[in-house]
Amino acid sequence: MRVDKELSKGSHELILLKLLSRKDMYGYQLIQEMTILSENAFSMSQGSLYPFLHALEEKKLIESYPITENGRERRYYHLTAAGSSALTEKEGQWERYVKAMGRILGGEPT
Amino acid sequence: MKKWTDDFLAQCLEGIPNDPYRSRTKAELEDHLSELARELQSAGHAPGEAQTLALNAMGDPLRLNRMYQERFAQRRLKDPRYVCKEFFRLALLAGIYYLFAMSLLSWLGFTYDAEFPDRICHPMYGHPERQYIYGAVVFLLPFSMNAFHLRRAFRLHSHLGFMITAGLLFTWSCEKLGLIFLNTMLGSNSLMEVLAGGWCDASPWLNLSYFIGSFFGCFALGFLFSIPKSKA
Repeated sequence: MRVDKELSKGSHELILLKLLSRKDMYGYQLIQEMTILSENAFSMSQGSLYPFLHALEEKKLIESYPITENGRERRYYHLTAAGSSALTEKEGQWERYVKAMGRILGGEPT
Repeated sequence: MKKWTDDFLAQCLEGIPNDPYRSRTKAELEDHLSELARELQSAGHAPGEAQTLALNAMGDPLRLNRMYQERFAQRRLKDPRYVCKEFFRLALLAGIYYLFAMSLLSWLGFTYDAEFPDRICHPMYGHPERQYIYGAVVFLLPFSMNAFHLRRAFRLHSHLGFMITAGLLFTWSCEKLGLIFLNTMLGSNSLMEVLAGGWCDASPWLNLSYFIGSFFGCFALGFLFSIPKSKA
């Protein structure tokens, strides 16, 4: 089942940074990984992936480099040191968010 | 021959000029579409159907176009060549407003030192208050317009106030260089003599007050024009 678009919007940055922390990937590969790992729960319109990546690149969280494969130029994305620190910070925030939501939804008394 | 991706790419990248960002994004989208279509074909779809499905999966091209335009604008605003070009273009435009302000003041009767019997004249020579009025108009009109255009050109910049002030100071420097050049051509007092209180043949409104006032005026205009519209 797919997650509501509005709900998953805020997590795109974290997802992309996390996927790129494992290995350098190009756009299509990132979409595929996202779809497989989330079991199709998170999916964005595929064309909007690139503005996201370009915005992360402007923030210097990732960088890109072209590689020619089978006569076609393909652009790979790589996590930078700044991106790595941002990822650690975002993972911490996400953990706190999940715990807080868990407490609310699980009905645990405060 | 037209490729099946051409219309989609043209719609996505409409309004983005021939620039490395356009060719890079085009190549990325083309690569993405061809790989997606290939995968759909290997999953059993007919080539035409795979292409249609791939295009649909990319999303609404008009929405994507807005996203790409915004990214392009953000990148361009950080390009020093573009910033210099815009500063120079807007300083030239301010020069036109400067001439307009001078023409307006001349029409209102302001002269350097001449008096004509057949019309109302306000010679500046010997009347410091008229020099101040003249200086205020030739500063406020072109520099306010300059700030307005700078605000429009850099509206998406994360440091709007800084960019407006920097642009105004660039125009301020160009104006002063222009006036010094004119002074030199006319063999008038040097800038130091003018700032020390001497009369300036090329620009009688140029005195120490104008020099300092217009400098700080650039900061004031930069601050005023960077206030968000809702607060202004």
